[in-house]
Amino acid sequence: MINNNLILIILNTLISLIDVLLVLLPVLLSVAFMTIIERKQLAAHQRRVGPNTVGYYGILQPFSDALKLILKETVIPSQSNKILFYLAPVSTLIFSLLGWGIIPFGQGLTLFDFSLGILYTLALSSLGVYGVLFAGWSANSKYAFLGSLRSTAAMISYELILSSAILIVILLAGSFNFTTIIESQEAIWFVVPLLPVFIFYFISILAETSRTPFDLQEAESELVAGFFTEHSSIIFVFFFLAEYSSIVLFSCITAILFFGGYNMPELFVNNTFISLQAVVLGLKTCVFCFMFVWFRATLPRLRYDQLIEFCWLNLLPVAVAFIILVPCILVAFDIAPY
Amino acid sequence: MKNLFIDILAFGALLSSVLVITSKNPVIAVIFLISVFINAAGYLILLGIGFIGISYIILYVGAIAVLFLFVIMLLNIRLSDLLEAGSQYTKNIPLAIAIGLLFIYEIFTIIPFRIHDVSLISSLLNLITNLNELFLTSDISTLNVVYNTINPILADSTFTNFTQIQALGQSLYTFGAFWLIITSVILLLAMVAPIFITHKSNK
Amino acid sequence: MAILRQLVVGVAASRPLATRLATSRPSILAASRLLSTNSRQQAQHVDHTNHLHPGHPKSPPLQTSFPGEFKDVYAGGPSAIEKAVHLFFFTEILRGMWIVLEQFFRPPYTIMYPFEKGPLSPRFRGEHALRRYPSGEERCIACKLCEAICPAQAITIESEARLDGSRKTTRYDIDMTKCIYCGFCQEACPVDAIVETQNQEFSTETREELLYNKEKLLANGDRAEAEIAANLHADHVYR
Repeated sequence: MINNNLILIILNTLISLIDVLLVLLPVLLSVAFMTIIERKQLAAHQRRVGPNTVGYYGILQPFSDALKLILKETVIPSQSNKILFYLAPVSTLIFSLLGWGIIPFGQGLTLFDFSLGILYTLALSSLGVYGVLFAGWSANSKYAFLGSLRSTAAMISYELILSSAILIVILLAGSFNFTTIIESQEAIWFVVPLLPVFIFYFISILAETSRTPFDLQEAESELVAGFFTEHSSIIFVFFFLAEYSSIVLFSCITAILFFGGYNMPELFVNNTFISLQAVVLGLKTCVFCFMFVWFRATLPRLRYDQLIEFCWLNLLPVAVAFIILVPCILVAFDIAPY
Repeated sequence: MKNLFIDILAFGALLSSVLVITSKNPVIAVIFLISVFINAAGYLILLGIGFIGISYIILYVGAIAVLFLFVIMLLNIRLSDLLEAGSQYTKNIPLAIAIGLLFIYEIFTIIPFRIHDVSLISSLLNLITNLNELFLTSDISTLNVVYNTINPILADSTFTNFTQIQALGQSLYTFGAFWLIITSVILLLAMVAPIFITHKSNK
Repeated sequence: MAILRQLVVGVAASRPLATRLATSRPSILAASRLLSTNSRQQAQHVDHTNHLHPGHPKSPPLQTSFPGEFKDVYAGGPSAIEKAVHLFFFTEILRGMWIVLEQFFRPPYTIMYPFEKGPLSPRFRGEHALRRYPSGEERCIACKLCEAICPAQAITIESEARLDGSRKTTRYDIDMTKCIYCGFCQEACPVDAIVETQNQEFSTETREELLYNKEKLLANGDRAEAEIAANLHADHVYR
């Protein structure tokens, strides 16, 4: 009997491992291709051609980038705290990739159908701040430290707006579970009643992932490189991957929270032999990744004090106003979801 | 299996808390504080109240510890001064042990728990009960009142089946409404006061 | 007469300013009033003719108003709703983004360099060459004008009478790493001996190969003579 139990435990573990790999490998591939998509799309917006030498139209560019970075020499400052120096980018990558554990690719098709899914996502974005903070501090260099402090302050400021926007969506949906949120958008996508909320949610996502117009922290032409100045080769690959993984993850979450997730209106009846739901979610994620790069192509950078002032003096009142408005409407018309 | 993880997390929390107060580098101390919070959050999640566990991570780890780290990193702490001051910490340890023991005695007198399978702690509790019987000549039936307050197995709560958040909301916004409003006013004060203190008026 | 003037000015002022937006390839959507946030639209009509004739007395204002009349200066401007929409929905940012999106669908300007090259004018100053006459005789007569005028002193010339008595160089070196490719030598030469071809792709892997001597220059000239002659012919009117 003990033998049976042990075999069951091992089998379960193996199946869980295969599940995780089934989600993570395409995610890592998509993150790799996100880098080349960004470069090619940015080039197209600027009427030029991006990288086009490596594969057909430059498709294999991320692999050559990764190879180059791996083969570089890793330089560690002698006075740095070596444990934290290695751990910070590793933890950033781990927390970015952990967020994919609850994304539904179909009805209930997740790695873990967590009833508190939204809270899990918020917790991971809060934990992601630490990678930035410790990376800059452990490098024992003034510019990296300052860059990391500024980056951290911006991230925790905009987390507030992000939580507010997500809270308002939860008020309409009635549950923290991602699948329930998608199913409750069957009548109408939440972007329609909550368009202003979507606007400041998107702004806060741009700030969370440190993208233009909020990327003074890693403005490659201004500071040296922000908080990852001293990190080279493999360590830098982790930061790089973590940033693009957050971009793809937040695009996915935007599609889920505001645009109906894997649901498409009656056009597609999902009784085919392949599930089109994951494809629909993927397409919507692509649209938002496009918008991330589109914003980067259009907007100039905000100065740091403008960034902080924008969050606390301009966005926060709007967010609080909506947090008061939406429950009032829900209670007044008695349409609160239970 | 789950009990094993609960034990590991509890032990990790205790170990991290000891390391918080004994590390010399203050940033390392805050890192161990974060580890305490994460262990406590994991403990709560394994106990079944996942909402509070994840709120621990969002609030304690995500906001409070970041605040601590900011302050410590921005203070210009010289590590050499800290390393020199080692002996000043160790001379107070006997006093710390005495106060700690007194605290444990008082707490373990009030709070009972199921300790059937941990023989070490059950023998300790027997010792404390015997000490109580020695010191308190009157009957100790007043302890039952405290016990019932902390561990109310009333008939009401066994029939309903709320999710955690509904359960929290059900009691917080009805029975605890007054306390909720008072704590929100306190939080508002806590927010407004630093802004007022640090605000530079342009006069 | 004054009434007619009023009518004409009134019609002119009310013509929508949006149609006069001067963009190079005006996009349809941006020109529409909804997304156009050109602040000229919201400006008041200001009388700029004052500074043109300073000494003359000011002509009476075209819109008559009596003293004591309540004149709302915000009457013609944007309403509160318009301002709120522009503030909360970032209309000028959206307009900029639409323009960038249009650029996304247009072809790039990039030239694929080793396979396609950009146009060069016949006056382009590249690698140097020494020319010959059609009979095969080298043109250079060792007058040393080019050596004298070279700003970088990159040319070194030594000359001797050749066996048949003509004045020719024995040593004509151009240090291409010193040369600044200004073309003064080509302008100074009286017989069009030293010219600059259009070739700019002569990079080498060692520095010594870039110190050209007479044979290299003559060989350059022999190789590119047709091109040099064509360039000189195209440009000779201006020289």
